[in-house]
Amino acid sequence: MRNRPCPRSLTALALIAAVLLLQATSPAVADGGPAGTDQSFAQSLGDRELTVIVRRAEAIPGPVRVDVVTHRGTPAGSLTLTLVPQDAAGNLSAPGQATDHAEVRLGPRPDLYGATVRVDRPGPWELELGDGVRIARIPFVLPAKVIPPAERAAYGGFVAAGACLLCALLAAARGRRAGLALVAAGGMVAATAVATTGALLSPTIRPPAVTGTETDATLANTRDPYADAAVPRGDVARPPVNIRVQVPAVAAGRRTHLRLLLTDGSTGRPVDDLLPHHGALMHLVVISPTGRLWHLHPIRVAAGEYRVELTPYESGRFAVSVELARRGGGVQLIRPAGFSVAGPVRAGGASKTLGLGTRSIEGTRITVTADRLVATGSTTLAVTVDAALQLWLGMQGHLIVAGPVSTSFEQAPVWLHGHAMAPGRPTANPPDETVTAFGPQVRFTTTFPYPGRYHLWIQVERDYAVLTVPLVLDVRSANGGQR
Amino acid sequence: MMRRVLGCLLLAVVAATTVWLAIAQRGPHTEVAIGGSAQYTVRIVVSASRIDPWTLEVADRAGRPAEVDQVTVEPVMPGMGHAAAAVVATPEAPGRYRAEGIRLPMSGQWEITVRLRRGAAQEEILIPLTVAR
Repeated sequence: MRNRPCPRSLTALALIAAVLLLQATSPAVADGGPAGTDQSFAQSLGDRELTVIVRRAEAIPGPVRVDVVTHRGTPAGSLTLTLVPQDAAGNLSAPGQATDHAEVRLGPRPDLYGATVRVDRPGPWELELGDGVRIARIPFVLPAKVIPPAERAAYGGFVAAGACLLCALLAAARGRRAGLALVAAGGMVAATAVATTGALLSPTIRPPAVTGTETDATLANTRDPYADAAVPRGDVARPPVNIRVQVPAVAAGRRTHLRLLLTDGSTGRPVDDLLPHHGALMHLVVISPTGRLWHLHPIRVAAGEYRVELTPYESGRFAVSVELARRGGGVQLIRPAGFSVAGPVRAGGASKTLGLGTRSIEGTRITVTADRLVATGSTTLAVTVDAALQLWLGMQGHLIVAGPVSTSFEQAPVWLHGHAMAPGRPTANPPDETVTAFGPQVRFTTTFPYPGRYHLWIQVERDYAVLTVPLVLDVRSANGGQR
Repeated sequence: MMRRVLGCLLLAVVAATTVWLAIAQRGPHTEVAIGGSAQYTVRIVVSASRIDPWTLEVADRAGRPAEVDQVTVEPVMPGMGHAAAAVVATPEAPGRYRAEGIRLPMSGQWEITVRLRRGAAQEEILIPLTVAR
């Protein structure tokens, strides 16, 4: 009787063992604690160029802050925000049906305006941003806080080891139950082994596929990305995209809209898996026949369909390029067929285009210098602006290049989109546009692959307005000739 | 003696509960994938092995079975650019359709487009589905 462990103690040990077992098999607890980062989407919504920021959620279910940054010239007014979940489980409401609404009142001054909405689940969502005429449907994934199984085994193991140690000490101190002390000590050894194995293995275990970035997000794989561990992960990149640009018959000087239809280059299906890349789902560059540039961020109106509005001031053939990233990774530059604008040429289109040197645009002095203008080697352009700069799309500056241009922009063999990075170390949550602390000099390094005449557009943001600096540069060949 | 029996019984209950919970967490033999639009909710009920037949449940916003003229299932594997043959589902009961002959030949994530046609109106609902073998 002395050495026999009592059933109650045995039951306690069994309970500890059960906790350990369940630790190893239960799905990750999704909710609680902040997860993920702020997600930023530039949107050309009608006349408004907006930056929509979905802040990271502190806890799910819980509130999520949606901020809208306006720019100089953005009309005041109100926007409707609607949150639509894209997946469901258990007694959550059906996907595709709105769960919360809010209104954002935009003031006349460029600033950060926002509203708080409530989310009831992690996983795939759509944020509908409406201005009364058009609705942008922005897809985003709310990540869940996931503890890796190995980490959970380590924590659970050490907790169980501590409990076993306590039992063993108590049994030994009372001196009557040597058997119980032995059993508890054995449990402690086993739990320590589990914990140590978990702790040692956790850094070497490959993390699961990032849902929403590498794979299509569902509620289940957001909550437990380890559940799909058996699925092979090879090349995750997806096929290229075909884009059709539809423009209604348009005359110069009239506002028009572009409809961009995206289809998969392998299956022909609509492409609806774009990732935010450099702060937008899609970067559209339109160049007019005389070299005026638009850098816009079309809104997603339906699966595989994007729209944007602009006013072409001149007639002729407009060239188009689209930069995007599909789920699975890989940025693509697509150059769909452009569109034609009828009617007489109107003044007020392209501003005067100069080469290197100093110029004044919209009251801001800009000086551009280059270290060399020779093909094949790299060229560094230094742009000095007499204003404090803000980050636009997460960058200090954007450089768009088309060339060598002989007949038309559409036929230019090279289109580039380079960046001047924000100074300092990249962080998960870079400063937004409310921070005016950059510049005055922005440097771009790029390579002109062939000699010839290149058109360049440098874009920086100051005082909540994007400044576009057009340039024309003649690049020599390495052996001295023009061609 | 009585205490020993009680202890054994308690142990047995704890062991049985642990085993049951572990099995329950492995999931049922069928899985459900849900997708929806502003008008419809579609549930795909499929065996864990993704083998035929599939049951598709189409409901309206209020959760009642929805009447549609045709339900088509079009599987695509977006990561690989593969498309599998489309299957037209046959009605079984109000809001319940049965799709036979769907072949998903590769493991990985598939994207199932469920096309609902009612009169001239057509709606597409995309539902991700993972095949692990």
